[in-house]
Amino acid sequence: MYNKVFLIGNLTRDPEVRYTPAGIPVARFTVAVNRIKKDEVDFIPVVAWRRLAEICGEFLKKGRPVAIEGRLQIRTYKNKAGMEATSTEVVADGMQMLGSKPASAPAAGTKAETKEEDIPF
Amino acid sequence: MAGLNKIILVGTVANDAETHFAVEGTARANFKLGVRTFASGAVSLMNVDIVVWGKLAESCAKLLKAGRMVLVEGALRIRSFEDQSGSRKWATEVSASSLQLLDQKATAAPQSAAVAAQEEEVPDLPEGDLPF
Repeated sequence: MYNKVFLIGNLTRDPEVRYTPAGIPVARFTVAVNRIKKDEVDFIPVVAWRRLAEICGEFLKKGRPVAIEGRLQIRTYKNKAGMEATSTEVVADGMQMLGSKPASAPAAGTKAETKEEDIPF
Repeated sequence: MAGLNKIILVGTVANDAETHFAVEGTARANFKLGVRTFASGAVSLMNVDIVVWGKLAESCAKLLKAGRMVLVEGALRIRSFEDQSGSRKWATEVSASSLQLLDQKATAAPQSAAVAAQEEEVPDLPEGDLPF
């Protein structure tokens, strides 16, 4: 069913890039989205896979403005204490850097086709 | 700079919308929206909490019954709170700014949000086949 999320905000810190046991890159970061009302901010965790994850890891930096397109994913899992917990994140399909361009940034936004696989975490 | 926080979901209403009125008279409606996703060939169902305010919330009580298919547009909110035991919990909800009914039912009131001409195609999967 239709599930689309669009975000524009700033990175709270540098993306963290990891690799699954199968060698697939995964980037995680949080985007701070200002509301129209002053001093209210929503913090939205974002996850990117594969090529997009590598691009995010290379070019996105703390504080930079970014536009994210993706879908909402809510998962339930057992935490360390054995209790049910939920995690919410936006799985990114596309990313566009905003703001002025640092010297080494790529020319345009990047749209990568990412298919998620079943990965054990 | 004001950011952009927009989410569009299509799903089926999991429970009848509950509408509450605050002391000042502002209406607030809550319901869960079941959204099916297809990831690597598997079907999974995600329940998303939707919160609606004001005039829109008042019409939710009349129109949003369990099983109805609806398009929700709004903002994604993730907030933390402390539960009774004092541990920190996270809640995800969509604060809806507009709703659109996607199925056509005779009971739908005429002032209901524009009913989409085309119905969303949803695969008819028996609940027992869901992998969880």
